[in-house]
Amino acid sequence: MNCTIPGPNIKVLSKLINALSKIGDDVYVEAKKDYLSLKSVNMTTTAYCTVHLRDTFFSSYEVSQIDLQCRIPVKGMLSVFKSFSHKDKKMEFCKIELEEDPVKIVFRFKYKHDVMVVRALFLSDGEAVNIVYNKDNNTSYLGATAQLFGQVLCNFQLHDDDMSLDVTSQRALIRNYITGDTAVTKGVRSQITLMAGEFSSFKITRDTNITFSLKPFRAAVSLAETTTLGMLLNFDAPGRPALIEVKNPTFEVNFVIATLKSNDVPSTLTSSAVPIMNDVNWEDFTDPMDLPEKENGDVITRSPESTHSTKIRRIFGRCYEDTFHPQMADLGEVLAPDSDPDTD
Amino acid sequence: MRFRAVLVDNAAMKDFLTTVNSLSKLSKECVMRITIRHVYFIIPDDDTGPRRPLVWCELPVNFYFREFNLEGVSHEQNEIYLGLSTAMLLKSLSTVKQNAKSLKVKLTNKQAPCLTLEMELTSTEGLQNRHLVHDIPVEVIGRKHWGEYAEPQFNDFHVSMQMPNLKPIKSIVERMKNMGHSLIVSATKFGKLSLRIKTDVVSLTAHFSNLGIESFAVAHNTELLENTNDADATEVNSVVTATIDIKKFLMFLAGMQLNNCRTTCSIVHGKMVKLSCEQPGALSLQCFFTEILI
Repeated sequence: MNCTIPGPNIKVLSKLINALSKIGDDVYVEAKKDYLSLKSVNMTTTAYCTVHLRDTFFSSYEVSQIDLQCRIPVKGMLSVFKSFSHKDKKMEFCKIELEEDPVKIVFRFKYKHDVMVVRALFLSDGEAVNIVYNKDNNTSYLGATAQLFGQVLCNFQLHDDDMSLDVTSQRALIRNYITGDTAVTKGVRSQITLMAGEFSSFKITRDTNITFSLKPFRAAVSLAETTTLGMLLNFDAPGRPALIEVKNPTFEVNFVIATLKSNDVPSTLTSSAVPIMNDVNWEDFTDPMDLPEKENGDVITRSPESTHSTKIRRIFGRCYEDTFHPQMADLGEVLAPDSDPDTD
Repeated sequence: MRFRAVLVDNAAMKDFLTTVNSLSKLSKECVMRITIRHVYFIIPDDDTGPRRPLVWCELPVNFYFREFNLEGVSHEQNEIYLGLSTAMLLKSLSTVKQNAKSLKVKLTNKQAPCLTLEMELTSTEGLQNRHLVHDIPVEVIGRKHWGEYAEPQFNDFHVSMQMPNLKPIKSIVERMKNMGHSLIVSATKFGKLSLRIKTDVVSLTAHFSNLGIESFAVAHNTELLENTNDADATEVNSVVTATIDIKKFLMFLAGMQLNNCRTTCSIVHGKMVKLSCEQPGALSLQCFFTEILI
């Protein structure tokens, strides 16, 4: 397979590879007749990213053997494309060569003044990944500019893992979703409501609530922002995968993300687990508010792990622990048991 | 205990954000004390945790909030003390940069006490409003601990003077930090502030002159006069010195990103340095550094 990429598209390719690197550790390259496909899967196979580069992306594209496949470590790809930010203006084209039954993939970069840089990456062994998804299964979609999604993402803390999207025909509610016991006491809970009018396309067949990981979503948003394209989010019901499309006439990128199939995510607005807008009482101050038990001054819900009361425990914590645990060292077989144990 | 406040002025929101930004640079956690006239942010001087200076920040309610309703722990003590993380507050507040129309802050109980920030944002198309809610978990501090956060009342400073522009001071002190641990701050009656570090190898001093003096008390020098001879007396009379931790001082300088701020430096000879930033009517932030014993 031989193809040539003109100068401006090399920058685009490096952004695409950046997005692929955020998902998984390997890039699976497949050369098909009309397009070149790059795929990446994450470790738990809950998120996939496929990039299709049409032949219009290349200035020349020849494939001798259909379905030529190979697997390249993404770090190698990143280092090949990374050093180009300052040499952008001088890059004329890049030629990618892949032989039949390939051992390595060769990138030839030609700069102005006849400077040529050749980089060869050795391929990894492994099975090709087969990503099957059916776009038609997804009945609802909402699309907007990357800027809108970028603004939504600003509201979440940096270490948030998951987000949940609650849609009705008029609006979309985006929340961060925290699992486990730390939910209430440690994390900030954020949510933003966007009316249907803010999206460039908004079609919801039924009211649903889906939850998925923020990491591939962030990767998709940052790709769309750097390439200034819009994003289209397709989804169906919780449990079915969601699809994010970022498209351009010369290439298209699809992110397939698994959604959480769970029953305990509150599906209605008025559920008390996460009260959002209690229209009843937040305007009129004299009405009882969300905290009825606070009227008695100090009789309030005990804040868990108050540092004031447990400061001593925190500083001298080790003194409260046993100094010896039998599991600490592998003492081998017990030849003679304890003749006078403390507890009978 | 109930608390509800609304801000609608964009400039006030941005000022509030800048203040919280400065506080977050000084410490990861702070205590928010809400009274009927002021909202205070207190960073306690915690010797066990990471070293941080004692900070007392006062915001008048009528400047920031259009509406303010408070019911404290009891009728006589109409106040609420909350412990919270400044980083969480800062990240949640940072959306006001996107031209928020209004910000409502209230204390709620959603499975645990939370400070809820509700913001109405105008979207970029300008057509519809977005509603954004953040719930920050807080710890309500009981009355028996209120004594730990009392307002520091130090009014007998030996000297109080205006500080020069903070930027050059910051770059100088940053270089000094690599050379020593303690910074000797001294001021003279004639408007000269000196910052000095002294090591075995080198002694480095930066002098800032022509600064406005607000007050200078000479009375303390009587005990010094007994130990020095008359030739030096006149010079000793007019210098007030204190030695503080250079890292804490630098934390304060790094955090102070407020504009239109009048900074004053007050020194108690041999005991303490206090730096205070004031925006008349809008903000008063005081930072206390105690003398370190080498």
